[in-house]
Amino acid sequence: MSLNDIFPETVPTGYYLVFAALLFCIGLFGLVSRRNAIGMLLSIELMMNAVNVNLAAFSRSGLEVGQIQGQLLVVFTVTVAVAEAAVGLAIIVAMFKLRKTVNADELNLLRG
Amino acid sequence: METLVFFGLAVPILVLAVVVVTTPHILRAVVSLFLTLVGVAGLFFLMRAPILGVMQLMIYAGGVVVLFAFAVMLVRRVTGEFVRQQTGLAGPALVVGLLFFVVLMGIGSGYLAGLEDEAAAAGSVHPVSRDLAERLVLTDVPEEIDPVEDFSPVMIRDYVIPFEIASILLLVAMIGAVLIGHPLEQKHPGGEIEPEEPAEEGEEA
Repeated sequence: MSLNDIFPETVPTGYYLVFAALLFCIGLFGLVSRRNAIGMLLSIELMMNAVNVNLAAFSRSGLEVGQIQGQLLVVFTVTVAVAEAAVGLAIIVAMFKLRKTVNADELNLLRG
Repeated sequence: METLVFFGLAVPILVLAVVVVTTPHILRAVVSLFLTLVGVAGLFFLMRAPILGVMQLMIYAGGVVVLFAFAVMLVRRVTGEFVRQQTGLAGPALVVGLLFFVVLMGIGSGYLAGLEDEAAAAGSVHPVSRDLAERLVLTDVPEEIDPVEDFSPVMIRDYVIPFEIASILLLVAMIGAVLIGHPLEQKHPGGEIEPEEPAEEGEEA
């Protein structure tokens, strides 16, 4: 039994797009308003997820049967997001070891 | 019916996302992010993309959140409740977020209006844009496809080069994370590094 049997009619793609836009803007708010570098990375993950929802929603409203390149793109964005999270957290931990802070306002090692 | 399920997932996700960006306690934010990611996985299942849902659960909810939790605990001395977590810029940040949302909605509705105008002007509608516009507003069931069976040939055959490049990216990221995170003491012997742990460790969530 597939999902189409349980739900005879589906959600419009526009709902997913509005939802993803809201999620992205919440993440943007967090990115600007957070002071802690880890909190900023959390917000970036929220924004990445919003983009993934967008891609999957457009893939669902694909034009031909079996056209799932959008879903494949989500796989690659998840790969990039995970790599970014790993390297970002490593940088944060190293910075904490070096400077005893993760406050983005105080991280000024690159200042000339 | 499916719309009910959608809202039942979307509203808690958005509320938890607000908790992620506003809570002063960073570990609470990580837990909220975990629940948000699980909810988004449910949305993927609802979108007939079960591979993405499983991947979201395994990679994000299983891997990234654990990574975040460990990072938070490693640097916990500066992430407790007694440390101010927000910049004083909540107001401007709110304005930025709302403005960006308005811009996104404007672009989307403008695009839809353009499609409708195009469909009205030309007697013969461009089939691609007409189909897309219909899918954006109508609620018909997508064609019966097997998401798993259709996924593998596209990923492994048609897009095998990006697939391999992604694996190289992951390898490079892993090596980079280990290099950045671990041997800092040996590389900068003159740096301001005290190996002993910070004194107060009793701050519990």
